[in-house]
Amino acid sequence: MNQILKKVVASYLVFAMTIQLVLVNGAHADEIKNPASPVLHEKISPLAVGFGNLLVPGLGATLQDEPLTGLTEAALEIGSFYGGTSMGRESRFKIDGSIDIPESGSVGRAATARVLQQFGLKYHFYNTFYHYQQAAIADEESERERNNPQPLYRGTWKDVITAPFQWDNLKSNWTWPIVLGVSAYLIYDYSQSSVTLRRSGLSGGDQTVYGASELIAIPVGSSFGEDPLFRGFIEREARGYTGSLWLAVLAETIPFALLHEDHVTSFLVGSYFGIEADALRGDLGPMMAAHFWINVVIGALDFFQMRRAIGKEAPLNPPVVIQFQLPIF
Amino acid sequence: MMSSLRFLFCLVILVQAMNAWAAKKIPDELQTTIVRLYSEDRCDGVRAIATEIDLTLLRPNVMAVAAYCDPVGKDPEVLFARAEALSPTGDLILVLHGKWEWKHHREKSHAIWEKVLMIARNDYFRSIAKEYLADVVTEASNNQPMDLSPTTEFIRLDVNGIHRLHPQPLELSFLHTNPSNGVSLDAFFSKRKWFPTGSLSLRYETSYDQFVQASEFNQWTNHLESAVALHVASSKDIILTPFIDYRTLGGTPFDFNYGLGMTGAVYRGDYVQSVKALIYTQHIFKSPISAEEGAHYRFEYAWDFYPMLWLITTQFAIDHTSSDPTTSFLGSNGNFEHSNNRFILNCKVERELSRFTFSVDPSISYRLNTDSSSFSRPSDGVVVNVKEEDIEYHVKASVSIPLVKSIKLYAWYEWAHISSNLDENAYVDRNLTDQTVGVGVRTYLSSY
Repeated sequence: MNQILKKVVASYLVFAMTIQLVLVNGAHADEIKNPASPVLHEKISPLAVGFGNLLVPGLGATLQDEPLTGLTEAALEIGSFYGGTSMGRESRFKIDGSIDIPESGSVGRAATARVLQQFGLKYHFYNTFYHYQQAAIADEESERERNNPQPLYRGTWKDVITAPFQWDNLKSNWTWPIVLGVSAYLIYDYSQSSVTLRRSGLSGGDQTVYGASELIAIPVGSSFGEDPLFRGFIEREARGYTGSLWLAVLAETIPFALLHEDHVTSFLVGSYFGIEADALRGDLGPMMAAHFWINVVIGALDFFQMRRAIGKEAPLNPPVVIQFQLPIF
Repeated sequence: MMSSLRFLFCLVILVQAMNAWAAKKIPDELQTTIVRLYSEDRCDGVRAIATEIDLTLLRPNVMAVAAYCDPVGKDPEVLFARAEALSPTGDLILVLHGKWEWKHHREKSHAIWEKVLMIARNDYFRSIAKEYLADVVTEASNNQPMDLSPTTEFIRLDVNGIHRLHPQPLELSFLHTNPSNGVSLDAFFSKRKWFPTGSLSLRYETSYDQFVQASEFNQWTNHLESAVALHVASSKDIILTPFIDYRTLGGTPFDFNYGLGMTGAVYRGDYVQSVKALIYTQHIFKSPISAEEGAHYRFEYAWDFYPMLWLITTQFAIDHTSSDPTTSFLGSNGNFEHSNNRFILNCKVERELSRFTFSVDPSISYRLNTDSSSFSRPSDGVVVNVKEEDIEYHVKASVSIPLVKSIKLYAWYEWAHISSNLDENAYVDRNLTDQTVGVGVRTYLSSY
């Protein structure tokens, strides 16, 4: 029995030793013969790629060995955003840009500036998410990626841009109730609020550009750029690091609220979308649809308000107030 | 029975040794010993250890140290190549390789020093690479061991004599000034602690320009930054840099900046690309241009190429300044817009020649205010709207001649021109052409 045991132990040791020598050092020999290309295609932390690109336009692509893509993105993002600053007076930076629509005179240049800034900012937000998404896919075998409670949103830019028009997204219980509820409240509020008559009218061109800014640029920017950035990247990374849904929702909704004009409403909406991202296992489609259509309603009401303010017809006709400014001595 | 047990015991020991080897690990203590022996100029000790172990299992930096010491029966070139393959942007490996190559095949070392210039992440390595390329290194200094402790210091000092046509800062181009001779002192200090995942450093740079005929423009500038560099991949760094700047003019405070920079640098096979964002606030103390203070948002995109004996760098930057408009400026009343966008293109072409380095640095900067300013034209009092547009051109040509190790002679000529639509018909005339010539000595010290 003793002899048999010794033979078994000895055989196991020889077998284990052989396996180790063949497998481990075989791989080692390969590594020496074919050292990896020194600098290309290294895996990089998705967090570094995401935050790097958020703070430095073009860095995400650069870190992923696509320097020309990074340069093109940076040129479009920075160029259109700062190009916008040359077309109107700047005020505080907000998520829709830094140019305000003037309360008197022409609005065409300011509205064009807002469209440009909207494009630059939201394209930057989307690219930040995109590079984060690509880094996370490249790293999907890692323990951190596999253990993240919020699955990665894998939609392409086409999925993102068409999300507001997908029937599956519109019929989701996370979409139509909030769109209808918020719209009803906004329309009621609009019908009850007064409009200040502008001293000068607006040209047809001014009205068109203003309408395009409010009804197209802002809604598309919100679903195309904001949801992938705040819920697809920031919330997901915070969730991966903390494991807590509430901390993750706070991490995305605090900057989301601070960058919007109405902090409280934005905080509530951001929290709702944050919880939705968790409930739908990372699917951002329904929230993009809801975000888009709510902003279309807001944009339409702003546009109607502008038409009323210049004495034109608009639905619901809220009361008009004529303001007189007395000189101060 | 006893003999079979002895056989089994020997087998277990052998397996353990094989396992250790198969696991490809050499104890940290042994690797530390190799580094210590090298630092104590005891390559014989390194060679003794090298005969007992498989050098290819060492960490890349330590492998390069062992290779530098000419281990018996091992080909240092193969070891350096392996260390470089494992750590493609390891600048210490390249420096050791360059020193070894310089000792054995001097001509071949040039290519390695060029590579050091390209990928070195610390100032000292770049400086010594230039000395090797200029052939001012002696056998004794090459054979001196380097200090490989994780904390390094570097100091550079410049002392220059200068002559400048218009000694004021270019922001004050509208002032009338006379040419002046002067002395310029520059100093740079950095202390850095290296970690396997990056480095933490403190850098301070200061310069003092004293003008004999225009002491009201004596200028003292200070820049302090702390950089946290993270190697996000072996050839990619992300660097966070909080910084402050402080400048005095004529002995009184002129401006103060504080902010944060973030850089991403990618060390590719034949060039280095970096992208950087800077967000900072500029406070201009009581000065004619204090209304131009504000928040800066600056983005820089740079590429550095290193063909043999050349250095070509290019940088494109956009700097947005957000300032409040004012109703008076530089003694005039009106509505003045100060927010602006500035587009900047910098280049540098440097050529290593046998005994000196020649470089030309042209740059162009275009400033466009975001809105028009309205003011009364001085000539006829008519109110006009002008959107400020300035173009600044700079060209600097310099020659640097290494005299002995760590000391260079440095001479330069700089031409600067501002072309602005704020001319004699505006509230100030910003147009100016300035020229500077200087000659001096540059020296540096390092803890390496």
